Amino acid sequence: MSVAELKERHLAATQTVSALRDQLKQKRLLLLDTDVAGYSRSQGRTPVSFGPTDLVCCRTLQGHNGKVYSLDWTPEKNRIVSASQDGRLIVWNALTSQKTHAIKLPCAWVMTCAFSPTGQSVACGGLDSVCSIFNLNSPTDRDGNLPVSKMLSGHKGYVSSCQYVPDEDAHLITSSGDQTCGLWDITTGLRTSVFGGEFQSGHTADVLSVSINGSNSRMFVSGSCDSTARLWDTRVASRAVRTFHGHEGDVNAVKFFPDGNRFGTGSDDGTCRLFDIRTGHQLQVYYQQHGDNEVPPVTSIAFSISGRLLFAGYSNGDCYVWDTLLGQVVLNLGTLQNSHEGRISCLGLSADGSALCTGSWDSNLKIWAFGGHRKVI
Amino acid sequence: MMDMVSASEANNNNNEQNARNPTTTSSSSSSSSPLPAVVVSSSSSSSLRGGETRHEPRPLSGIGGVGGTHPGFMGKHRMTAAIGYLDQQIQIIQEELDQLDTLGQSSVVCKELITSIESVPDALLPQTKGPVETGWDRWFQGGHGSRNRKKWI
Repeated sequence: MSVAELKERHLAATQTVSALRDQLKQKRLLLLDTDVAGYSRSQGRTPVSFGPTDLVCCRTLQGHNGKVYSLDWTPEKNRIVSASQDGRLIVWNALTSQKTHAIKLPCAWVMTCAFSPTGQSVACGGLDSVCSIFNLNSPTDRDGNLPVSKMLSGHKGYVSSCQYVPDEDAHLITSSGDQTCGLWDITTGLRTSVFGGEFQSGHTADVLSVSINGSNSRMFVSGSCDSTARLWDTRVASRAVRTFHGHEGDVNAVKFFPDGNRFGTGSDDGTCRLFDIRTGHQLQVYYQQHGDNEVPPVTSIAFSISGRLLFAGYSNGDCYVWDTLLGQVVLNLGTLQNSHEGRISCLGLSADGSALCTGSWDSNLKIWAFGGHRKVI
Repeated sequence: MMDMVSASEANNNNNEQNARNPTTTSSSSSSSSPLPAVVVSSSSSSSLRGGETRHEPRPLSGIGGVGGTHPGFMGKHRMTAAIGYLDQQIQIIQEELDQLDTLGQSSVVCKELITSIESVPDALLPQTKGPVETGWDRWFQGGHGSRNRKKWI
């Protein structure tokens, strides 16, 4: 076939893809007879109502000398690992506010960190394009530094996010600026699978975030600068199970919903969205004007343990608490007493859901818990 | 090399956006091999937060790779690969369209969502299903976990 003929075929195929995508969009719209907020209202649900001193900041973890970029809780107990612009990871006991480890990183440009399921290791990654593993029980070297116990190399771009596969310390999933996600075997240091890549039906721009399904650890979602979120099955690396369109900007954050059948996203377009993984439906858009007509990007999200609350950090320092059912903001942690003095860059819930940790560009982490009167129904 | 470049660029750049968004890293990694024709090539530069909107596939119009390929020329092999990729996309979208015929409306899913949410006790809600775990209030107990003082009212 000549170049000209190939070009024609390419053009035709591109136009077909475009037309089919529009058709898909229209057909999906027809199936959206209601969103979550509309349905919940029709079922008589009313918004969560917080008293002024219900959600309070009960700890401030100070110790980083630079912006906090990422945090992760252990699946058990009260420990948190955080990563900062100061080139360190700190492991905290959030209950006592004590630091148990301060790890100086070989590459200071860290973007993400994660705690292993057993709590014995932590992982981090960043501009070095490598995911480094540290065993917290290792003896420190001559300079008092914890040595790297494994380096996971293979990405051709920065490592934006990483998460251990639940229930085992041996596998990890990463997302990268090279447009792919990776599944790694930590024991061997090898990448078992690459999700996406050129012509591989994956993301078409930097991947910024991953979240593994807590109910089915073979499934994970990724969010990307290509404005989509994609659902993957770790057994099928060649193509995404489903691609979720809707956002109009980079998808900075993705998080699985507690029941494992839905996930949330946060984007540069200022909205958070809730998607259903089985039907692909976009169930709800969470958007509220922030005043001054500004639409700050969403930097990070987390769900409360039941899923009733969606915590969303924004680049202007707001941290909205959304009632996921009613689609309304019920609190702004950014305006509460003792709140952060800068952008909230990361969020995470403790394993039992009793506390939220926020990390900020003001170099601190804060722990928030419910200190009011609780009504049990 | 790439990493050093990006690290030093991030170092020099006061704009925190770039340190968090090492576009140089992603740009250089995606331009080290020619971009797939179907991808909007500006996606690499728009990996800066708040960049371009949706990335729609653009028709091949002689977009070559960065790195010296003559404008207006793209190898036959790459074009064939790009067409194969597009054909795969067509198949995937068609499958999804067919699947939609069997899917329920969103209201069915919404109902399921409410049930799911209301079945789990949640420590951060003012009103929640029980049982309440004793550990929920540990954040307000005095002492460092070793003693069991009553919480402050």
